[in-house]
Amino acid sequence: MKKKRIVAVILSLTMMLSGAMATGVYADELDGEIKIGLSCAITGNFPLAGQRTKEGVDLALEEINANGGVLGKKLVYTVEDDQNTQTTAVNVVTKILNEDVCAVIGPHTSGNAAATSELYKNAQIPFLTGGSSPKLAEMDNPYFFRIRPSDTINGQVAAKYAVETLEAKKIGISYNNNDFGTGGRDVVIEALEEAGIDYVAVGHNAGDKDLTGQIMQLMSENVDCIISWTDDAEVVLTARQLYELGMDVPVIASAGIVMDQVLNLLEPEYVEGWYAVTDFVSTNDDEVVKGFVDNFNDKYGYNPELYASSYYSATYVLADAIERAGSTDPEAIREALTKTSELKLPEGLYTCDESGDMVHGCVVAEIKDKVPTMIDYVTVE
Amino acid sequence: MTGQIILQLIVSGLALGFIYALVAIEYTLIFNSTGLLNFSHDKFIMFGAYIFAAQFLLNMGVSPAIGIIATLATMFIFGVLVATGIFNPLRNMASPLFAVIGTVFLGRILTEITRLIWGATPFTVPGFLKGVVRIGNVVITKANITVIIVSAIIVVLLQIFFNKTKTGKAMRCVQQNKTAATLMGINVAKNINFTIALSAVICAAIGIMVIPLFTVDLTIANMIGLKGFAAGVVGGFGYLPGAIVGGIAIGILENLSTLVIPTLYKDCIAFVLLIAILLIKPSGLLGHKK
Repeated sequence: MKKKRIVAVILSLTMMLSGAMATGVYADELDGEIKIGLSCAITGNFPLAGQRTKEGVDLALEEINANGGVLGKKLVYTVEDDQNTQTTAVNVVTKILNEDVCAVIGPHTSGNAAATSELYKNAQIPFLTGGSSPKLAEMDNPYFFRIRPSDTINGQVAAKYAVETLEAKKIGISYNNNDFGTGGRDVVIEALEEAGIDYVAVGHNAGDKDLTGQIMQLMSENVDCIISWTDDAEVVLTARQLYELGMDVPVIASAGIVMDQVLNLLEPEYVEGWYAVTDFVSTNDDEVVKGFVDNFNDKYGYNPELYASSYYSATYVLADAIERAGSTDPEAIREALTKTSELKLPEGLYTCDESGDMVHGCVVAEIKDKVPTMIDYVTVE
Repeated sequence: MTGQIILQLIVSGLALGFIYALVAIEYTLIFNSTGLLNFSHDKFIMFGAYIFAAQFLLNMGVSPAIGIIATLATMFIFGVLVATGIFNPLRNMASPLFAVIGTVFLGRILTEITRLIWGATPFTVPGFLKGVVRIGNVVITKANITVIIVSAIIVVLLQIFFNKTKTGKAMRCVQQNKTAATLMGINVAKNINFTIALSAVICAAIGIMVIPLFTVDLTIANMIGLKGFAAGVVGGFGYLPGAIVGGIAIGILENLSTLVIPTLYKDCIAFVLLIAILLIKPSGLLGHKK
């Protein structure tokens, strides 16, 4: 027992020393540190999102610091676990804001971003989030920046693709009756009304286990295309039952369907030929995306998904803004973030608009044998 | 077209109805033998699904047939443990509330244990009971057919068991009067152990059968747990044939309701029916009185 403890002490001393030495090496090359905050869900009901987020940020920081850092300094972060709950997010953001950071990445999800928005506003520190609800842009917070396409964009692209490319005459909208689903439904309906296309919207609740009624309704309305806006568990159910009930029309689904953790729940034939409007697919041929996917794969041994790509890109957006601001003053960084323009990153082309939205297009992907392949990148004005 | 739609809705409703019926039977058994409600019954179903799918099939790679037998056996032992740990010691306390709260907490513990052992990521068993059967234009999944057949077998076996075997008769005695049963030389505690183990086995069977219909996750049985409860009340609380009638009635009615009301309110049907029955005919559809 005693022996074990001594070994443990020696091991931890070695680790501390090597850590210090590593910093020492950097200190020789880079003069000082710039600290940013990171709030993500490492535990709780969505731990996979937090893990991928952190992996994306780690990779970006490694690359940035290997290429001379920011303003000649090393970019470092302090990370806190927000458990994907609003109360914890408020607590950890308060803690991060007391740690002398010049900007913060996260928290993820619309609910957490909305809950912490006021804290950032009062502290006058900019934050970059991936919450995709259209409502976030209406908060009128000058310190809010969104590093993923909002659902306004995904919804419009889905409607446009159904009408223009798939030439649908009557569209069925299958939506989840929560914030995410109804938000997407409203955007799609608005776009369809503008285009003068007939539609029928059929809702289900989170946690529903049988959609026969909903699907029979879509069938009896003779829709020739379905836009599905729902969460992971329900999109799996939709796919299985559409297949089983023999409803063979093209389907355009919201972002989550392209992730491995969702595709693993499906038999390949359920989603064969489905389309998805999403942020990111790792099979994109674009050089920036390819480079990112290769580097990510080298470091972690698997492909990145949309969380890794979003927050990897967010780190670069922030580094770029700090560099242009020429200082670590949060106000100057905010100013620089609003002037972000045409910055090409794996997640897309970043240009900041007046509401803090930075990505204005999204990927249309087609699923073949459970592999989503990019077929188009659509930008919305 | 309309005729086909109605037929399809009835067929799908029937299959779900049998699941509700099995849930109603599974907790009716416990109610009859102990006078207590097992509020963790939906977690038993979840636990059964995880033991079968995560442990036996995916971790240990056994064949489904062996997996089913091993899961049912495991859940039988688990049922005995729960009865020894919660139902028997707590049922004689000052208020039935102690045992009921005990089961509520057991449910929480089961969920967290499951998450710690097998992780929080939802998964499925590829190919298990996959596929559909088409009769004319009506589609029914193989999983649904399995549910209907297995439910029918379970109900018949239970009826035979209660009416023909000594243990079954003893269970009915315990249900009617525990003191008298004790005086007749029936070991009530042992009897309750067996009932709860039986209930756990039925839970496991439900858990296994719904895997192809629902993705395996920690909330797999939340909805069917609630609707199964409603099914029991609608059919006639504590009466096995009533549980089946209640389950099928709810399953079919909620599916047919989508023809007239918005699909979002489909789930309300079970609970509206529950309240209506409690107001109009508290003894349930079959009007069984003890």
